[in-house]
Amino acid sequence: MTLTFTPSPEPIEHTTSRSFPILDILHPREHLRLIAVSGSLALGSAIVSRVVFNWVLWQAVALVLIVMAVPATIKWRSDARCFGRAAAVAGALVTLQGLHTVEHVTQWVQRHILHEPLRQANGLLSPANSEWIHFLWNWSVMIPVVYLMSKGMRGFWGWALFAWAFAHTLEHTYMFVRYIQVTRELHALGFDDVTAQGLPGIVGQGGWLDLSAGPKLQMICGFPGITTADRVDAHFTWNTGEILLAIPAVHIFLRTKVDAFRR
Amino acid sequence: MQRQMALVAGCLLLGSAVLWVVVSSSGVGSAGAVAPAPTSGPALATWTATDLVPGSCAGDVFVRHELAHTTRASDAPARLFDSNGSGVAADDLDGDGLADIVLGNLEGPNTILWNEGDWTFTAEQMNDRSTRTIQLVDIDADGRLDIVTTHRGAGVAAFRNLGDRSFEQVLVRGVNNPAYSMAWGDLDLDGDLDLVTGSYDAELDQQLRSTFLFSDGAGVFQYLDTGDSFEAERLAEDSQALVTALLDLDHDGLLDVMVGNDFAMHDMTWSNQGNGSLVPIEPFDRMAAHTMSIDAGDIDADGVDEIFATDMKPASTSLEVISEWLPLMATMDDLDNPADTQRIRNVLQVNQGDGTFKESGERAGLDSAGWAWSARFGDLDNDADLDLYVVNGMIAAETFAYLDGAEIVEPNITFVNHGDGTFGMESWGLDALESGRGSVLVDLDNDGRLDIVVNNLDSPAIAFENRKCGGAAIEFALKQPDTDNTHAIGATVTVVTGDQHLVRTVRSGGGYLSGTPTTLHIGLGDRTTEYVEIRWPDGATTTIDAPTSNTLYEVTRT
Repeated sequence: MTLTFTPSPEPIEHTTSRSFPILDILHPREHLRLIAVSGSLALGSAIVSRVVFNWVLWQAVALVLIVMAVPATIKWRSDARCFGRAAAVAGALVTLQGLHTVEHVTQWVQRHILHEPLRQANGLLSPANSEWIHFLWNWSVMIPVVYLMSKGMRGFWGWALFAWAFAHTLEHTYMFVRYIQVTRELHALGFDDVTAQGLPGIVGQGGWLDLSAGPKLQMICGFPGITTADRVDAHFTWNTGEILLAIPAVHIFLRTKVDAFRR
Repeated sequence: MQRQMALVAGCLLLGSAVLWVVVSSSGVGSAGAVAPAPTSGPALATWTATDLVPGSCAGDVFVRHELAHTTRASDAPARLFDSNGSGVAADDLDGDGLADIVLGNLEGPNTILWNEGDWTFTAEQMNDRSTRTIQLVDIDADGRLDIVTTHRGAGVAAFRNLGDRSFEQVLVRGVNNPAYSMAWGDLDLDGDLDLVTGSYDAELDQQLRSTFLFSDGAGVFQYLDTGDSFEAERLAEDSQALVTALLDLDHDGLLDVMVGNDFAMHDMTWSNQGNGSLVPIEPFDRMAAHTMSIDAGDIDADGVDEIFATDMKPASTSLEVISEWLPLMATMDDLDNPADTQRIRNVLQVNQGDGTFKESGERAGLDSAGWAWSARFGDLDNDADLDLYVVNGMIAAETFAYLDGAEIVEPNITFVNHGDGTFGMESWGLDALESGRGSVLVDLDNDGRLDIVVNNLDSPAIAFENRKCGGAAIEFALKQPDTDNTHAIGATVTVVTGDQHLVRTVRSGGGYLSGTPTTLHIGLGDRTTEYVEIRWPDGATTTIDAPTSNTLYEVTRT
């Protein structure tokens, strides 16, 4: 099957409400057919790979993401032409962080509904290697957040998103470094088949704050879950918080940018 | 008629006045009779009061003394259930006023360390080995504490104290089933001591093989003292009972039974209905998956005991520690089910005062203490609240073949009570790296400060001499000489210091495989004691008004 698509060279007038430009930027618009066909193709490929070729879940999910990267890239390039690069980056940020939140909702369901062990409640993609994926992901979020701030996404929500995303990224950086170090230690002990993934980070049960914090951090540690949440709950909170901050930050930013573009 | 009534009333008044004078005049070094408590059944008692003389203090320091005893396993490094080690008990066996120490052993004989004072001990080997639990209980009601032990793959043995530091092994009639853990107390309120034992079926299976497989099995047994023998009643057919405890879980004045099981077998509890009748209950929403130790203590001074149980969870997230633990933790993933009531960590059951408990180990900061064995409550700094000392470590040739000596080396942990329901870790010179198993908190030098004795595996046992500065204390040794429970196991002492009611209970044992001294230690800080209420095992009470701090009261029921 050959997909033909010609991006519009000119900005497109929209019919959605101007009060919610975030809906404009997330709307597939003229790419609806491309996204729908690609989505169907991706899903079909994933099912075939699972059923016929016995791929594990994360491989099938990765296949879906790779297939969908093509229409997504086309759509975002189109957004860049329609609304400007910053608006396109904002749309991509909300879309991808939204998808990432789905990963953590899945983990939460695995843990609390399906009652899977903590170290096995890894979601859809993270079984590949949760530390690498979440480390790269969070830096991938941090960079566009900083970029968007440089383009004017400031104000309360912008700064709140920046602070939250930065803390979250620090958490994953700490976890990633420890993952590398512990993997090395395990290797020295003769274990190459024991994973060091899923260890606590800075916050949460068994985390650095829980076990190492001095009296100066008593106030921080007093917040519910800061030293008691397990990894699934902690990162469910991190990511839902991040998307909940990203939506108003991007919304307010886009209202300015899109309106300015239209003017 | 009126004259007779007046005569009786006069005699009553005179008697009361005499009694009041006697009580009022009693004090340090003197003896007196005690007025009965106003609210419950009265019990007359006399007491002697002896000064507790604090020696030199040296800040936040415990001084380490290596003892002449090493618990040895059959192999080095230890294999299979030898890794579980042995217990320790301490109390005054020879009547010289100093607590002696009895240390269990596996491949060698147990050791009695006779306390000669000034931190010198005379070691004497016992004709007993393969020992698990050690408790010092007066089973023949002659006023002298006897030594009772349980054994690797076997049952209970008793050594009758003949005085002058000699013992003879005696048969405990009717107590015939395999026992790993045990606890003594008056379950049926008939005035004598009954026994509950729990078996460790994994070890029995490994040692006895088909003999155990095709036997009647083991499990949890209640043995009621019927005079010349014990009458057995089986409470559970299977158990992995690393620890058995008799605690008043529902605060009704009766000892209930709690059994802590290994291998993710749920802990078991029975409520005492009186007359030795036990009914299974489930008072805990959460429990440890591998309960290795149980100790009870009123950590929040609300008059009811909290319960602490140990499990295995690394106390540190250092790279070395995590790396040592991870291969094992990976095999435990299937036990990590949030829908299950069990957790692989220490649990603190906070008594709500109505027979229910709220698990608060994480909130209290007590959920992880490494491969934790014996955990004991005691006021280590005499500040009027209970601290917690946990010994830990593991040697296992199979499980930890990848480590030097097949050993997880962990420092013992001292959890200091902050007084707000949380605890913090301190060193105080107690963070020994030996692989500890049994432990007991006891005032070995009568200075009013709790010392600690730890029975290690494959390392010498250690006594930690408490030289911490500050804080007063009061101690009580209760005696019921004309009863079958001479050391008043099950009695409680409540020290009232204005805003606080500090409650301590006489128990035969606690922690892991270990005994508990019958002399109760209560730290006071700088508080003044208004009065002390002693509740004897039968519920009768005795009150001592305004007792003196830094004093040992030996209270004898008359």
